[in-house]
Amino acid sequence: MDDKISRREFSKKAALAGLGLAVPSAAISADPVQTDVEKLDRQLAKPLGSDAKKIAKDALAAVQRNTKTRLRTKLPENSEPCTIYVPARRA
Amino acid sequence: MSHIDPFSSLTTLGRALREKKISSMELTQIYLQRLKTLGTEHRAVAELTESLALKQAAMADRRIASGRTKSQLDGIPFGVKDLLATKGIPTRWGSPGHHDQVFNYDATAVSRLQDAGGVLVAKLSMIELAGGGNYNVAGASATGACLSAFDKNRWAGGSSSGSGAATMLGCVGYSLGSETSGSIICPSAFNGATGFRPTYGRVSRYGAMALCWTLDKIGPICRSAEDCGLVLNAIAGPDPKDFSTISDKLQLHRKNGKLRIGLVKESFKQNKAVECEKAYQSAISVYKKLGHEVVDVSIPRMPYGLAVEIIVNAEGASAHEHFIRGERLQMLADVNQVGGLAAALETPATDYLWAMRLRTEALKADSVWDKCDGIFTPVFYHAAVPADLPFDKSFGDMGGSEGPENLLGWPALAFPIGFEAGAPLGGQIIGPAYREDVCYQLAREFQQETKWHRAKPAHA
Repeated sequence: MDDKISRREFSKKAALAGLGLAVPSAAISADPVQTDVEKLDRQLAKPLGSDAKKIAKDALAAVQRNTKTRLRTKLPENSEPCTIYVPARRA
Repeated sequence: MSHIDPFSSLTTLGRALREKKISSMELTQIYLQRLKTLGTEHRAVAELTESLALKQAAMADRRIASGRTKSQLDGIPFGVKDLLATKGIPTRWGSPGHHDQVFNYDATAVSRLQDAGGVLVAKLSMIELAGGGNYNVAGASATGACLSAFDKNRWAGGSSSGSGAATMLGCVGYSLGSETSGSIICPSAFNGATGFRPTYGRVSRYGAMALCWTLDKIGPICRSAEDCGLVLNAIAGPDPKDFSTISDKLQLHRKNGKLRIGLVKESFKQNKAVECEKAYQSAISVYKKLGHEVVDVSIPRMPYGLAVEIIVNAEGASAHEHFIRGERLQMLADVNQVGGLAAALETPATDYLWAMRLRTEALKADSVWDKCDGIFTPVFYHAAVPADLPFDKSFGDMGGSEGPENLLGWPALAFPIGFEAGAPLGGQIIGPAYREDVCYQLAREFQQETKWHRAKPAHA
């Protein structure tokens, strides 16, 4: 079997990898928060150090827990946030 | 050089200046000297503004000599939290990642004090970025751990750390701090200062670092409620540069007569807060003696704290997104801030809007004001925590039930109500939105009957 791929195919695979869609299965962590931290880390200009990454993982887990916790408080359906947009008058 | 107690009230300092018992230049030099010694020892100073201060003091002396005094604050030196922009002077927001930041304009609160004749002597230290990344150590600041005015082994509180410490070390006549959730009240309690968190929108945020646009408040940290009133009057009022400012006129001197003081359920036993309970009960006795009625009240239970956390995460991450995603994030002093701010970028919009909808729902808590005029509660159940321990190992609870005061923009005035092992314990009066007069009256009357606010650190 020929392992060579066309330039077009290579570009497509590279682009998918950039989107995180073609990451080798061994690199996918079993810990979803860890995966999220790795994804977040890639968005930063400078990779987080190991201590900061551990704290970011805990903080991210807390952010995700907050979503679950806040869903326990049911707000009136369709209620408005305390701030609504007010169109500005032209000066 | 003339002699004056640097801990004098603003009324006393103003009178001494107008009666020419001391000049503004002399007073400024006294405070500058104290900032260089005591202020530096306690790490309360972010930047001395000596040359500006001497120039402003000379101008104040000329005005006073010609009888053209601008206000009761004319010629009195003050300091501001390093979160407020000052033209041509570094404004580092307490952050090592902003060490070279200089604005070319003054924050409205700063310019209003300067317009009143105030002499800016220092930018005061603070927790980096006002602690938005969930800091966990006292050293979370470009200037290191700021130490309590009363005990150098204890933390000065945050995030307006230097404002609390410098004021109670007698290094400034008064200072400005800011609060998103606790940052005026906490350093006031930990330093024995009197701090006024006004109603949201009462003081312009223009030129102040944004942590949370919908929660941030600027307010005075002083040595008495009366001093806080003078400073708040000078800085309050609408500002076209900040659309959130309110147009209602601040009226601190309403004739309220006898008031109903609400007491919420406290947790002294769970927090083993023997000294705090004594101080709290003693303060209640003072209020009863003054003829005020004391009533038990409760606030509807809602996840107010969770909503604040989500709002701080979302608005803080947005306000500082460029910095968080950039290379300088890792220059922050506390690694907890680095990880916390990075994670805050991932706050879902639905969570944020849930929190903002909860704020609408939380307005139900306003029903508490049918039963009382103001709420009295300890700030914390303990005095200032050790400066060298992480907060998750040292902090106890805040007084009262976890309330909606910051979410709903309610004002509060914190003041010392006693001491525990040589360190001050703070209490606070919380009032309804727009009713700073209630907080002011109750704190002022308490201070007319007690001497806790006049205590000075032994070494200062």
